[in-house]
Amino acid sequence: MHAEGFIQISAGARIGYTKGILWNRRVHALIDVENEIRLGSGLHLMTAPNGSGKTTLLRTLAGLSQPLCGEVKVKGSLCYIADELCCDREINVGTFFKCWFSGKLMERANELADTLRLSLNTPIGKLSRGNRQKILLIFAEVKATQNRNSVLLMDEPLTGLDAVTRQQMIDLWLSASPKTLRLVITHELESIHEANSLLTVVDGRLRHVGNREDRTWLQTYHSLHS
Amino acid sequence: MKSLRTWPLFRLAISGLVVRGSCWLLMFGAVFFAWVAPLLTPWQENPQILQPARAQAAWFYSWMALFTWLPFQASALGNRMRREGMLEHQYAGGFGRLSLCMQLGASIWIWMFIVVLLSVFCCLIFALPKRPDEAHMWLILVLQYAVVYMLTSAPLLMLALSLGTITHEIIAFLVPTGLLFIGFFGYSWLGPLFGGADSTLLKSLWIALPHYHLADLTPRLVFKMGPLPFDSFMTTSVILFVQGASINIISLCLFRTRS
Repeated sequence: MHAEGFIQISAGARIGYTKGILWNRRVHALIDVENEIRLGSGLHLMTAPNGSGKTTLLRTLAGLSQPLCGEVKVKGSLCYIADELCCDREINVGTFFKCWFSGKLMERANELADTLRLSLNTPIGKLSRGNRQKILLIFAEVKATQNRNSVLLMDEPLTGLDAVTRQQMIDLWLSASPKTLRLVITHELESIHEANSLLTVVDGRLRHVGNREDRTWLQTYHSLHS
Repeated sequence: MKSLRTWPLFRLAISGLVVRGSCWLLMFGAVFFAWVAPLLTPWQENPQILQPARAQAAWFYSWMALFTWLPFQASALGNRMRREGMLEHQYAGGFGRLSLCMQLGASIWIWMFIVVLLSVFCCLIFALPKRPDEAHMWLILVLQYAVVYMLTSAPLLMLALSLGTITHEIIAFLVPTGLLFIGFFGYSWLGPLFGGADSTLLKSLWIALPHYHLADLTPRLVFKMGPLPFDSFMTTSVILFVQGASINIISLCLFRTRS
């Protein structure tokens, strides 16, 4: 029995990055965490103005950067889908999936490709931006089904998708593998009606809202920034 | 039930190389060159040279592959995987640098191994002496050649791959190729200069320089000199192994996952 995955960011943690050569290191702090934040399984949204440190926070959670101070803990089987993650453009979609999956997982990948109208025999380089994004979404979803305590960190995964596919993906996130923790950076808040919480950065401080009351997530976001 | 594959980057890298198609040309070229190149010489004057010439052509092709196709593919692969973000994705998923480096390294070493196998195949099919005792010595020499060739090439390919993850693929290609060039041809002009010098520093530098000329056993094949004596073979192998291990450690330190 695996415990569910979770993300925990301690109070007082500071997220940012260092730049420059060893003897001239400069610290760029982007986000301060005032209260401890703990995310459990479910769908968690993150949205904030450009350059406010969303990707840096996600990279820190993925273990690719260290927090400037404080502690960041991620428990579970981690899958990080970066904004710039892409696949070899010469190979076709089916081959890409076969490199990662076999058996039931491959069947699941084929099933999702069929649902999202993605041809497995087309070279990835010949696909549109949206269709290339579908590959990564399927890839992340299928990987998540492998473990019961998966933690998916996705940086703007809905970019480039048409409205129908976007809605299909959101529905899938809400229905498939409920024990999975999904933290999704997105600017398409108007399309997401159901989510467990919203994270945003207001004046360099990380805010976490778990209850939107009667408002939409977009209204909640605007109220935090007003 | 097994469903998430092990070594996915290895599979991804192999698929990428296969679909690009130049590997098929490399493999076909190995056999074609060993067969055709000696026929372009005036071999009719002395037909006996045709067989050793085929062995020479086969190994010449292997060295050419190590100067061109193999390090270029290694550097391009390292560069591509880093740019695509696959290394970072895997690193975040719990794969260590050593595992990632080995997965990508293995996907290039396979082609190196195929090139060696084709050279061995050409030496044994096209150029095997008829007399059993000669054939036995020929076989041992060819196997020795295969071992020292792989001890030379594997670390250089790993270096090209690792450099590809931190810099431009052309630079990543030129550094190991330059090392191979110095190690292969440099001994004739650097040897007298450094090796015979009184300065300890210059002598140490000479020892530290790569000595890939030791791996070139082509003259022994061409002049049918028989295999290297066991002691010489072991000394050569140990020198190449130590140099290769140093390059592998440097490569692992240089390997970068961050995109």
